[in-house]
Amino acid sequence: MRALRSLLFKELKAHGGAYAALFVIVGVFLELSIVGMSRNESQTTLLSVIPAYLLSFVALAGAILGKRLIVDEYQLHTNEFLQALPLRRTQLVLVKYLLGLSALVLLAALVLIAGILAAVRSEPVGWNFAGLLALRTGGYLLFWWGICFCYSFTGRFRPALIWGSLLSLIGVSATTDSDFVDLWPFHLVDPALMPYQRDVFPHKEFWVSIALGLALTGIGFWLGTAREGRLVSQLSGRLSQREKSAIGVVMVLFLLTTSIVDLKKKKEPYQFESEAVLKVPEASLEILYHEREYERAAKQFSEWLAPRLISLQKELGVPKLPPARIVLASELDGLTRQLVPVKETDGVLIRCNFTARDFDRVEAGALTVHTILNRLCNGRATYDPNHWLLDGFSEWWVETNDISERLLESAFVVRDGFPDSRTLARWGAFGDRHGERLSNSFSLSGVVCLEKVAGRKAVVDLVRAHFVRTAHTDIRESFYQWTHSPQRIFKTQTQLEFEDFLKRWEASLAPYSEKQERLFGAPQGSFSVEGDKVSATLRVASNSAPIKTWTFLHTKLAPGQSGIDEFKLKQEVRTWTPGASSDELTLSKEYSHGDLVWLGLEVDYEGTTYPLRIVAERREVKP
Amino acid sequence: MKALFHKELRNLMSLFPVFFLLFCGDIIVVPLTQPLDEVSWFEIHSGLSADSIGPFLFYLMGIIVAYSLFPREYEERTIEFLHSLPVSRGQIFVAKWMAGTVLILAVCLCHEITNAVMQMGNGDSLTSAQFRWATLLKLLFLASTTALVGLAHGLLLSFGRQFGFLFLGFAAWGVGWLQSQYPYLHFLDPLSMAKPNFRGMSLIIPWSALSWHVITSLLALLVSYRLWSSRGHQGTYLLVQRAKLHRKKLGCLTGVALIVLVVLFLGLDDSEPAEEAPSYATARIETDHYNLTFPVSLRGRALKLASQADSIYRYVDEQMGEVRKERIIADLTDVSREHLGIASLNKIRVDIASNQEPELLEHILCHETVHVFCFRLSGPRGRQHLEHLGFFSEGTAEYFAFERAPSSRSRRDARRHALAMYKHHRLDFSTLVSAQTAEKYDENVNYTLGELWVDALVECYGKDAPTRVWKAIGREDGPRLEAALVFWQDSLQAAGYSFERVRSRWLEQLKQLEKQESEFLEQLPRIRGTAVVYDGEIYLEATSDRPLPAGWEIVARVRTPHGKEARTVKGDSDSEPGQFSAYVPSGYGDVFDYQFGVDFSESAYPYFEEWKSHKG
Repeated sequence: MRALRSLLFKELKAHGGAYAALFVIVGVFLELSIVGMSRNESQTTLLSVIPAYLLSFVALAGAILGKRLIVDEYQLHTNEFLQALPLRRTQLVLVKYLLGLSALVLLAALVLIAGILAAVRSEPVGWNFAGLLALRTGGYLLFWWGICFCYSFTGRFRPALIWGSLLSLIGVSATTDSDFVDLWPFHLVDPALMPYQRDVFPHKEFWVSIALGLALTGIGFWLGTAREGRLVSQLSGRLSQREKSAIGVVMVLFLLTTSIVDLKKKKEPYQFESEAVLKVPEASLEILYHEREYERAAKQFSEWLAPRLISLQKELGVPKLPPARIVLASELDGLTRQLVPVKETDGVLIRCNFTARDFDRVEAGALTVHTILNRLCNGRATYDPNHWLLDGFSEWWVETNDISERLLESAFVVRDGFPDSRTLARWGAFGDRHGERLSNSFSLSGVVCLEKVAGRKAVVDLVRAHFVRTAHTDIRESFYQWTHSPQRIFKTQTQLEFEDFLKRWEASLAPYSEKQERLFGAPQGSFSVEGDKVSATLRVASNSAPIKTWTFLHTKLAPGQSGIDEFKLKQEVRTWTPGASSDELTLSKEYSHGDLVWLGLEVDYEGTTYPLRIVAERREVKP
Repeated sequence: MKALFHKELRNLMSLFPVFFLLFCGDIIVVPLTQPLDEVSWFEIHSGLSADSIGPFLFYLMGIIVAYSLFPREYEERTIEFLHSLPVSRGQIFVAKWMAGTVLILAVCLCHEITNAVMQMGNGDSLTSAQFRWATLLKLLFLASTTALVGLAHGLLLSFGRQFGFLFLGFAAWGVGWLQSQYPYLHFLDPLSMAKPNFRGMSLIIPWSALSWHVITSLLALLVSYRLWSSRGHQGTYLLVQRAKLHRKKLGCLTGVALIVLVVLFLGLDDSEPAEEAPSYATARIETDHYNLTFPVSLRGRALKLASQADSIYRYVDEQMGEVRKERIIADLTDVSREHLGIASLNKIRVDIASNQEPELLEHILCHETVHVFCFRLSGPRGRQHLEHLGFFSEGTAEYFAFERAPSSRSRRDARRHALAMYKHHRLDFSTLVSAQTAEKYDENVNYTLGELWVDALVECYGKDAPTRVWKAIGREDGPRLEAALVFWQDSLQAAGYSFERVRSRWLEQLKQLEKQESEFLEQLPRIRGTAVVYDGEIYLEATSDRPLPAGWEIVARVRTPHGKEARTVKGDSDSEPGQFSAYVPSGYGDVFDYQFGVDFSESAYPYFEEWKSHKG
């Protein structure tokens, strides 16, 4: 007993000063925090200081106590003095465990009492609630000191274990929907729950924390006493270069695995939280209309779109379509649609103004079908060689009007020659050159032609073969595309050679060639980039072309930027003088030497809804 | 020397797997998370992203390699074995440095190769052309230089063992502080070398930063060579042996230094420059008479309006005569709950987001263009008498806008509004010209009763009469007249007209209107209501003194006491017909003004009762 007392006295002498300093520092910070929080009007309860301090200062104090009481003892070899005392090894370890735990309990009690006393002035804190807070704190402390105690006996692997545990917590937070405070022991002192759960006690979390704490303590005892203390002495050396490297490899691999799991995580569809939502469950369609006065317009749009989505689901043989969410965006005109990228969620979110008088429901519907099909095959429907089919099918599926305007536009696209299969396989660049409207019209003409040549079933079968599959989101998908060439799938589903089909497609547009030339006046656009001047010139062969306005589109491209950022695209619109044969617009000092710019030229004609892109180029501004 | 180099390399190679995984780990992650045909170079290469932590990791690699070279040899006394070999201390230093350099170059090369290999399968038409050998070589050069600078710094810092990190922390803070105070000193940051900076598609090599860091690194190497070659043992003795005797004091000092460092870093303003608020892109269109700016998202609407803009201008010009040949700047990006448009001398603003009917937008553009003409015709004297001109200005603009073409704004309903205000509030010309009328009842009275007044003027003196009156107002030799009635008598007289004749005609028109719209007047209710407080919330409650015809509804408005901007409050849709209840929106507090009215037509302003005050 005397030896035990002298051990206790030695420990208090060695660490008492440091502990007292820690106690004072925490006390001062605690008081400052309470004063600060009580002056903060947005603070709902002063009790929130308790979990905040338990998770920070008290947790840090646990780690420091473990280091001072145990780790330093072995590193400085002062444990040899202790072993010379007439005490059993278990007693030595027990004294250290109890001393550390008592110190932590005292510190936590300080936090608890200060928090409750501060809160009592502004809110009722009864004995029951105070007891619940104390029990939660007790469970958490037992667990936390168990960890610190156990890790302290792991010698040179302690830093690695600490970092590994931290990384694991970060990994769990990143790869699951739960934050680390949702995990059982931490859940006891969750800042979002602890100060507010006055009648609820998390029994399960409490007992799990106690069990974990005891288990870790047990491991600590075993490490401290195993092989007469030789194990802990062996662990207490310095990490060799190889050990460091191995730990590093394990940690980096862990991080890589976490990021892979995070990227592979299944995402939940975007959910509307408003009540002003029109739902058509059969079509997996939801339309957010914001105000009751727009409900009618939403209903009209859904009555038009939902049957098309339902028949799409049936004809493609899909059990359920990915959820489509459409949001009323009153600030847009009826011709503008925006696909909202929602990184954290899955599904389709489209913004459009279905209350606008000029609302183009066909294009909004086509975008919905386009995005649904793309989601259906994990975003792989936009794979360049198949993209024309996706665009064309989406338009074809919802287009019910007379498509002669679209065919004229298609003939306009091919006015300088019909694209070959290689050009079609580079659909992204094709769309960039001709613009969304013209490339959509052209792809629509292709699907219409395919329907005529091979029948409706062939079109649907082809789309099913390409897009109704769960595409892999890894290298396996590249092998799939390698072994399933688009042209072979085309042949299998339509019994047509792709090259033959292209000839028929070209022939189907031939009747519109002359008409489009007459109507659009064979416009030619060109750009000149010299010094700090960028010019666009529009020329038409026919003076009588019914041009209303023409637009010079331009934007600076960042290095590596592939597509055009619509929000950064600048537009200079010019009215066209009737009878004129050319017009030019020059921009000065808009771009500087070295800039990579995207330049486009579009024309609005009388009688057409959308502007037609005449030319688009990427140019580097050179001196 | 060669054997020594091999020994050092073998020793360091144990770090290679860690660095390989750290810098080339994408070769595992990317194939498991992406089809290789859509992997773009700029997407996966950390060195091509400005926000990447890549430069920090390269620098850190240099530091870690440096710390693995000398300290351990001295602490474990294995350096004595090396010193017993027939090699000079300089050769030992060079061999160690070379081994570190080889490891760093190998890792950097693997980093570039793996990134280049991964993007090779990309078949996307827009992103596949991103890869450039020249850029790869530059990236390799910059990354390895950053890491080698880290190695040089690390060799020097490692002489101070763990305290070297503390010094590094203070140095990092110092560089950060200098950068925040003197941004042109950004090159002092060794990480700035590997931050990508492009001119067009060409990656720029920051030669000034590079030369600075290469020179300082050579100096650091020289000093560390001197230290490790001649005083390595002393350093070890001083820091490892002697320090142990004062570990408590040293521990406290280190703790304090760490706290100071944390506080310093927290105080360092590393906030990014405030990002511009996201806004929709705008486009410009020039017509013969307007420069229009509009949101791209409303392109169709704006172009439709722009196509009519010049014809609107010509119409107004025909009616009012051109004064100054200047283009009108039209801002179509304005969004307002309070007005459809605003005009000044050369500039107009039209809200095309909230109004989509083309005819209505043309009506608004015409209305605002007339305002511009009025401003120009009335000149500086007009601006001196603005307080008398409200009804005439709005009346002229509304009159010509109605005359030009029909729109969803109903002239008949506008006149009903005028009649209702005239009858129920007993308005006459003297009250119409008073600014208090708008404040007491409704500012829209200027539009409707004003339009009727201009109509009376035209009936009396013909279509060019408003223009002549505006010119008369703007005459340079006109006197400054405080009294509104005198001002109007003077203005009409100067234009060659009789004020009394116009006023009589105006009153006659109102009488005629009263007969024509007798049924409307009979149906028009008086709305009585008040503000009441329930459970701390303030509600507006009102009732109609007679049944409301179908489609009519009671509305209310609130404003800050005598404020200019009123906010319309819609009633609870569950209210009984003829009843109104709505809570006052937050932000008005206990003291505010409110008024009740009847919305009798979608195409006209609602009729309103007098404003009342709620005093809390």
